[in-house]
Amino acid sequence: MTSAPIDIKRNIREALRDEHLRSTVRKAMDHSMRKRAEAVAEVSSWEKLRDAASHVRGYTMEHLGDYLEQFERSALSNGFCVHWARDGDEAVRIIRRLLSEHGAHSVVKSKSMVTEEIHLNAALERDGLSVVETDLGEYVVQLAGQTPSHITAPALHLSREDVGALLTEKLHEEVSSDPALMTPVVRRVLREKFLGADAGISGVNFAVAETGTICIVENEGNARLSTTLPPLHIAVTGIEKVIPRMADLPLFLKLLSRSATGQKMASYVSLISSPRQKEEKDGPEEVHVVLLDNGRSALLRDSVMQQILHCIRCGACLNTCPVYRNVGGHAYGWTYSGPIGAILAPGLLGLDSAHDHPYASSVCGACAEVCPVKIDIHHVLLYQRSLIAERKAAPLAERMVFKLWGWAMSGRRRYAVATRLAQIAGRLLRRDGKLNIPVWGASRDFPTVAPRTFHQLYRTRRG
Amino acid sequence: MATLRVLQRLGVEVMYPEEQTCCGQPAFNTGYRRVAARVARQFLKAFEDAEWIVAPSGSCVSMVKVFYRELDLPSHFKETAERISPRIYELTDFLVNVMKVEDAGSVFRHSVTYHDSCHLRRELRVIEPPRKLLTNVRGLTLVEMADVHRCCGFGGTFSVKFPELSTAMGDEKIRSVIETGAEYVTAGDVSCLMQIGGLLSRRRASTRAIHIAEILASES
Amino acid sequence: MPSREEILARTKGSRAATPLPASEEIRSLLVDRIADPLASFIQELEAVSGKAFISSETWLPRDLSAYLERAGAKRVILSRDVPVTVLRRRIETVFAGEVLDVRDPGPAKTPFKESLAQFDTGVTGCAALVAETGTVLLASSPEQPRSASLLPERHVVVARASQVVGTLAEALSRFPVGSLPTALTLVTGPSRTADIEKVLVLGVHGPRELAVFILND
Repeated sequence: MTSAPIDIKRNIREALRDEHLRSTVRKAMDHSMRKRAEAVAEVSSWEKLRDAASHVRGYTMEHLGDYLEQFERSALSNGFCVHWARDGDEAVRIIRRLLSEHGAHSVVKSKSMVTEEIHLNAALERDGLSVVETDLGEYVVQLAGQTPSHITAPALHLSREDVGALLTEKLHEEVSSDPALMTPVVRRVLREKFLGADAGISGVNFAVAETGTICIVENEGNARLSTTLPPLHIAVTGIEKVIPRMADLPLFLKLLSRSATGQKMASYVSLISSPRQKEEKDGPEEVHVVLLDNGRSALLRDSVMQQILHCIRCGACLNTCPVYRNVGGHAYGWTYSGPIGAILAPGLLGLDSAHDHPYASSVCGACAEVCPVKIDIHHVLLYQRSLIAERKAAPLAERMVFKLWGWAMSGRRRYAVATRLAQIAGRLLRRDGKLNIPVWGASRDFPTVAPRTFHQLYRTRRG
Repeated sequence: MATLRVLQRLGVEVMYPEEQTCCGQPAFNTGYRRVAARVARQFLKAFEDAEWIVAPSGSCVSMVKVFYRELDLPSHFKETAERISPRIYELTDFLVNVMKVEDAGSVFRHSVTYHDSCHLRRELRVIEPPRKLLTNVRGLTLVEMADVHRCCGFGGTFSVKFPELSTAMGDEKIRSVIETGAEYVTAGDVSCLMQIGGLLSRRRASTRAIHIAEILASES
Repeated sequence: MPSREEILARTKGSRAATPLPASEEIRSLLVDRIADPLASFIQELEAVSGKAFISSETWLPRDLSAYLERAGAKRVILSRDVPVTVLRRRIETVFAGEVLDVRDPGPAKTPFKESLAQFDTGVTGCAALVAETGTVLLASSPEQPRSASLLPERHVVVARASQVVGTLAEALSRFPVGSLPTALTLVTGPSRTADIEKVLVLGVHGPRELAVFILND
């Protein structure tokens, strides 16, 4: 699957000029990191939990087909319907068909990155359906005509004043910029939508193969409402969300909650194992699970990139990333941002569409340190750089420079010549006791080249 | 030179293989693994008989210890890499964990703040040794900066591919540095010091950047 | 090739490099020796802004009524899985507000969810109380519809002290495969969000208040 190349360089330059965005994002990131650190410090077995989770995810991906079959079997025997979608277009077709067959006109949605990935809302709106995002942050972002900027906190790039003004404008009533006062307004407005909806569409945090259970994690209650009140529930999930057993679920819930928001447990975790049963008074009569591939299975063929699928979408890597905190999520130009987004983009969209993503990082490794399932994100970035360099997709000038550099570094005499040239260049570029170097020199000074190299000094010293 | 002086002062027999050029990290970091492998062969030839290899650089040591195994090398070079991997150390790691020295006999009468370079902290997990050594330098006041673990923003070619972003990250780092009020900022990687020092200088801050080997070599 | 077959073909036949940790191993990693589980549950519940009350079978109608009066509750819907018999009749003698049963929440023609939306308080039982996190485990059933703990702005749980378990892993292990309810819901405190500038606000879409009455058997 390919799409237009994302100009992340331009996005980053623009984001860096937006001081309001940057200070809002920085504050949010400081808060999230602090909460995560406190929550993790309480768990003395944290590293053992990460190890176990990493192994479970690894094993699952190595046997993904088997687990998908098991999930389907269990889900079907529970009374779910299961659909398979090769790509986003197919998933959208399936969902549109389901909604049309049920005569659904109004849809409530709880947060699902996957439905953003496949541009579901736009397609449903084109069909004339009313689609309302019900997660507070997603609702706000939808009203603003934007896309979410963070995996777990979609509106974190907006200040309270931004949101107050937006709600005032769109709801035609005076809404305070105090979060405690604007929330009840949204509760009231959306409660109507929940009660009147023909269908609820949700994502899935974990799909348990052993029992055919779908697990949805949230704090607000909008996912519970979306998956309880309407007569039809459509759950959309990437195929990598499968976990083997019920016994694995508490492990992932513990890691997810503490990593994402610093909570011991999210406010609401729904484990849904069947549609409404006889004699039950509420719950959807039909539950459909859509299993989406959309490029994920291709990552299984690459032993380094396979680990990208281990992600449980906690967002901790975003919160800790020194790049993300400076530019926010929209700069990445796609549904998934931050470190996981930087490796998912080339993985799912293709190296051509995201050829700069792997380079938009100083490879500091902070992401890998906080990843609850131990994805070596920064090493995957380095690996993707090598794929790009190997395909000769990097700029010609750069390839030539490194080829030359490699030649110069491969022999003592050539190295001596190269350093001699550097010393001469150093003298030529010197200005006011400092070196005037293009690009670097726009914002930073550079120390002068030493008059003599270590080699030369050593020779002298040794006599 | 400072590294040489420190080790010799502590009685170590130091050899400098003159065939050495570079560990290959800049190429590897940018994705040019074949170029990096070529340069790595030169490195491995130069150091194949070494008992211990010490480098005043977390990124170079990481390259050899952590990333050489990713390179496509002929089998005898692979063997050399495996053999020397446990024998290559960053300077402070070597002093504290191999030589069991926490006092290098240095004198440096200034206030200093230490920056954890990403390779040292995360690839090599060398966090305490430099601090132990600095604490024992006569006259040195060690001040810990806020967010010391945060990347300085250098990142190799990242600094020239995304210069404004690299600078933004570096600016946040130097704010932490300046906030400590220390006269000097030090680290175990020259690349971080170039970034931090370059920004401090451009912003006309009084704090000066100095490599930790220079501090440890200092005798007055 | 149909999508199902294509996806399965692409996700099968891989190297088996990693061993899968056994369920017992995972469980043992999650076990937590909690000295006083009940005290821990109460502490964790309160830490997430839930309220805990110790009561008994005899005193529950009085204690619950007092709480409902203080909270300003007017219309209460009662699930049938509350572990106290004839609770409804007994509350009604003390509580001034209206108390209805989930079997009969409103006019026959009104959809169930519309009726439930008219209550300010839902009282339910639970399947377990989890000490480690202050979590209430709810198992849906004809006696305990999901809406009862979701639509009203106040959710009251009536539980027995013997229902406290240490960890979530223990709580979930009580539901053998094949006997899971339609919906098992883990409730940890009231509904909340920090979506706007990370400012914590309670009661977004789900209940704003959560109270747990623990009966000393």
